[in-house]
Amino acid sequence: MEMINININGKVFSVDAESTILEAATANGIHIPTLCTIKGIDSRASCRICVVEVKGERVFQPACATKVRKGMEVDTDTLAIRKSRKTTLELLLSRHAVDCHHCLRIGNSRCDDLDPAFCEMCFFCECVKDGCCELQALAREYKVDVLPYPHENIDQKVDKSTGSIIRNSNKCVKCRRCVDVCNDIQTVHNLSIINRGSNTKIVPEMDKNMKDSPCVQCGRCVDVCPTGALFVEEHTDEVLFYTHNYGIETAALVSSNTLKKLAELFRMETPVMEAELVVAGLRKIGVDYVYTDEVVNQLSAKDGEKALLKALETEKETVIITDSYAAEKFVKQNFAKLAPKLVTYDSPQRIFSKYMKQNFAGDQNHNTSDFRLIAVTEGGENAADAYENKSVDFVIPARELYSIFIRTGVNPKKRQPLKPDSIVVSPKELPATVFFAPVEWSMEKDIKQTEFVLSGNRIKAAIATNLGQVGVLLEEVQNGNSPYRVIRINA
Amino acid sequence: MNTEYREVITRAMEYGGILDAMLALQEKDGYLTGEAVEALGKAFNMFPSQVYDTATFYSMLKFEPQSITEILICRGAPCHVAGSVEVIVAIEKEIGIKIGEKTEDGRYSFDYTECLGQCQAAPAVLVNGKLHTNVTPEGITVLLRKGGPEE
Repeated sequence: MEMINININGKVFSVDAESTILEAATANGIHIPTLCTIKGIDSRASCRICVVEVKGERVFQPACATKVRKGMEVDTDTLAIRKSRKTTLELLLSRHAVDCHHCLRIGNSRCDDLDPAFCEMCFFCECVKDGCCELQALAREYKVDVLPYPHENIDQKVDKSTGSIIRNSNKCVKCRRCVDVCNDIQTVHNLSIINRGSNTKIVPEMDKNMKDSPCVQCGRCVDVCPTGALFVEEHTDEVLFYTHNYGIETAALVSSNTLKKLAELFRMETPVMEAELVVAGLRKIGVDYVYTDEVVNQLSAKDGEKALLKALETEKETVIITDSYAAEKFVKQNFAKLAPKLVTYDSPQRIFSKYMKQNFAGDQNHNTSDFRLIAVTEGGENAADAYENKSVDFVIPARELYSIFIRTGVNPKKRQPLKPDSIVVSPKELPATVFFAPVEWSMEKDIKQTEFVLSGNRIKAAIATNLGQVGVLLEEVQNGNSPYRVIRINA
Repeated sequence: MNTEYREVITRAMEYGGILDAMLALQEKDGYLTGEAVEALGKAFNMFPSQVYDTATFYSMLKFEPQSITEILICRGAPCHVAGSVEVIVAIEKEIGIKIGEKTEDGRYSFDYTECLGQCQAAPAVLVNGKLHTNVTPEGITVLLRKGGPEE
């Protein structure tokens, strides 16, 4: 790695010659605000929030897309830049259908009030992202309070056709994150940008609604959206109704990824929130049984192992195996020939559902109709499965759980830790092979290769961690030159 | 239906790229149909969303059936300076719709177009493909009352 010296804000730093100004500054602890850039995707420089002053350049340069040069002199926070960023935010907000920036509390409040919790107390702003919106945070940072332009009231129809992923174009800031994830990472090629200038819009394929479009509902666009333009259907009221209802028992599954996200939302010092605190919080809002996902993950892995063993006997070529509903849809849509070959096994969410409906309800003499199952997930990845296959009754993303806690006044950070309930399984069921251990979704292009031993045979396998990788792997299978015996899709 | 589209596209591909194919398809149907977009995607090895993305960049490409009389006014800066705003107001008043809209009976549609290259005689208006230059608010009103398309 070649290092060069550049001058940032009057101080000389030695930085990687291949990096951008943003990367160089961030590596040295200098904060440059951003709205559109995401790690892992080439920068589009569409939001112009990260502009910096580069000596010798005629105009401000976007830090996320400008490479460093030897002897470059950069200023990241001059008065002129602050003014430019504020103007950009004002222009964005003048076409953004929210009135959270009119709120007196923003910009006028004491330091303590800047806690998102404070904002959530307001009764007027009904945006799902209130308190964890990147645009709102920037508006707060740059004190965008009263707009110098008339607010343009855009009134486009909110697309609720899928029932799980909701698209509200009125709140879109055209940052392109969702488009890039949909096209470059997931290669679903659904979301695209149409028209131009101030009429620019982000729409599913050919301006269809989401249900008729090729969307596979992987939910990754929801995870990257900085505002409330893309979100998973909320179930706060229903969840609270059932948890407060004595006649109906509720059980929640908290996935381990949620804990990381919750720590971020609650601004905790630790990288993850302890599961015991989440359990205590959920119990407080009235959830009767709370489970963590270690055992269901292993049960799911075991189910995968069984399905794989069965498939290996009959299938002489590559076995494609998945527990993801989105992947199932993706394969059916893009590789119709391979779809009948696809082997599916139960995801942790479905295992949880089966366990609760069969064993638990039977053991405790409960009627399944008196049961409501809640899955707490990191983002929007499992919402479609819940909505279309009714595997669980409600999927609550970490963001919504956070909002439920804030709205009900339950602060899990201050509660006495409680142990989660345990799922009882016979020891012969476990353990399963490491091959089916949980894998996180990633933006990587490199495919994870692995080898493992199953009933005495060495098996060469690949694990796809996003749908883009699935596309590459299945293309090989279709052409008959796949080097793998097993392809596991986790996307 | 699909084979017809493919023929049109193949012919257009001999002399040009995707834009020429789009224009040829538009000539055939009067607008770009959803099937046409899909056919284009197959022919040019693009995804339908990408084809649609490209097509919507150009204001001359349409995605729904068009009206009998199509009035297009140049959006360029010279036309603006020469008073295209007054002409727009006059047309809006005459046909009773705002720019970018279509009358309910399908008789008129009114929209902007990109520069027509008639900056020496601005403002310029296209009425059903026929060029009118040095247009004044009074002139366009008279023209539209006479029955537009025939003129």
